[in-house]
Amino acid sequence: MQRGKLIVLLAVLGIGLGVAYFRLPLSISNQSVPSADPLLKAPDGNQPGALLMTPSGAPSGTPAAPVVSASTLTPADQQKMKALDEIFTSKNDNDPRIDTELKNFTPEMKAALVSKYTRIPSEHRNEKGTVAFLIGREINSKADVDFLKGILMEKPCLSLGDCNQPPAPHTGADDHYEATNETTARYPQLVSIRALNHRYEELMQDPKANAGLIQQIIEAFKEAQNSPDPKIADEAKASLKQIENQP
Amino acid sequence: MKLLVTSLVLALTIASAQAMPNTKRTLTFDANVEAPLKAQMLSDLAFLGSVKSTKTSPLHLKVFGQVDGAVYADWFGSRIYSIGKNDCGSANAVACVIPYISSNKMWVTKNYTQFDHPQVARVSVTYHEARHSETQNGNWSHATCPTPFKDANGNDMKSIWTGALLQGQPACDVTAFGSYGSATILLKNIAMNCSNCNSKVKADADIFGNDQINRIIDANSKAAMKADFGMRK
Repeated sequence: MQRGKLIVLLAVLGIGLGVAYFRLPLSISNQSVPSADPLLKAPDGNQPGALLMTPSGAPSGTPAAPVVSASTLTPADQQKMKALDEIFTSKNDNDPRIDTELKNFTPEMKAALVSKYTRIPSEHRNEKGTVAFLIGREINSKADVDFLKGILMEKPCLSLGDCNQPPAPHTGADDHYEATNETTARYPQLVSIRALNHRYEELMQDPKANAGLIQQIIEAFKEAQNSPDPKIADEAKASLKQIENQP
Repeated sequence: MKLLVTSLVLALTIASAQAMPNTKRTLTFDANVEAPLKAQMLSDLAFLGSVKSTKTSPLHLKVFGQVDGAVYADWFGSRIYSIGKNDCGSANAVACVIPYISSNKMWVTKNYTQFDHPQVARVSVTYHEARHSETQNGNWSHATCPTPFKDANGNDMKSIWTGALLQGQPACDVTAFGSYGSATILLKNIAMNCSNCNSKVKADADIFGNDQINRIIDANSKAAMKADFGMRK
């Protein structure tokens, strides 16, 4: 009886290990390009080529991340993503690759950037704003406008140390620092507003040909008037007012 | 008598050393400034020290001189000799100068590396604080923000985090040459004139500069700054 139980236990254990072995993602040693970004890792063994990016932890308003396939990123795009990770790690914003390598994005690369945005922790304001900047200087589609609009509709970052936590008790010294801190807290939103305004101006060089995208930008500003961050709502109103006042 | 003369000479030497810029010094760091914090700060200062330009606004000329990395390095180096670590009296602070301890020492907090500020914002904070080191200018003490204190859209200037109103707080400047003004002049010149900054850095400098100018409460000073930056009034 005891031996029988042992055999059953070993059998269950063996089946369990076997299932686990075949279900777990392939090891990191299969990565073709070493990077902190999971997009550049080998796809899951059970779902070749498909990597589902879930927007868990993304702030409200952030557009849902699309399903991005790692295999659809060309080696050139993978190189771009690697360059971006290197810039984030170095914290050297004046890296010339921002103006040389990190431009002329394919739709697939943009989708990968949107996906990346949702996975960057909320407190990484500069990283999030950098992704918004990169897409924001190449607004060519409704998807681009929607991405930036989603950023404008995010809930405010309450504290640079933890966006979801109430701030530390206010001291007299805080008034001295808050100008910079608050601008950083809104950095992704301010970058997005700026990008939409700038693109609007560009498109107005030929309003007839660009009517569709112009209207989408206007709609984005209209929606952003209801941003949960009153300052961003005001910025959107100011942008709309400026548009209305244009001859 | 000898003692009096010696004291006088010593006092004059100290006074002239404080007034004289461009004394070449190596920035020293206290032992409790962790290596990553020190590395980040040196990297940020090196970034500003690498800036090149052929253009400079008139206000920038008055405060700093030409838009040029070597000029910035001299300006900072003649004011700040050492870096220590402190909480600067606030959980949200990044850096500070505490003149009654030392006018030539800057204190940085853990937030310098823990908060993810754009690089040009970190640099502007250190230059804002360096301006406060000028004892000969009363450390450019801040002015009291007016009551009420409204933004361009007519809303109260207040913290998004705490809701605390800025009105009545010593968090404004009357002059364009104080800490807020000089940091704004620095940022806007990076935005307008830096020839070897990438487009993100220039955009960031503009965004942070546009915000800082709101702390200048004197209409004439603000108008002069906007004219200097080519901004719409």
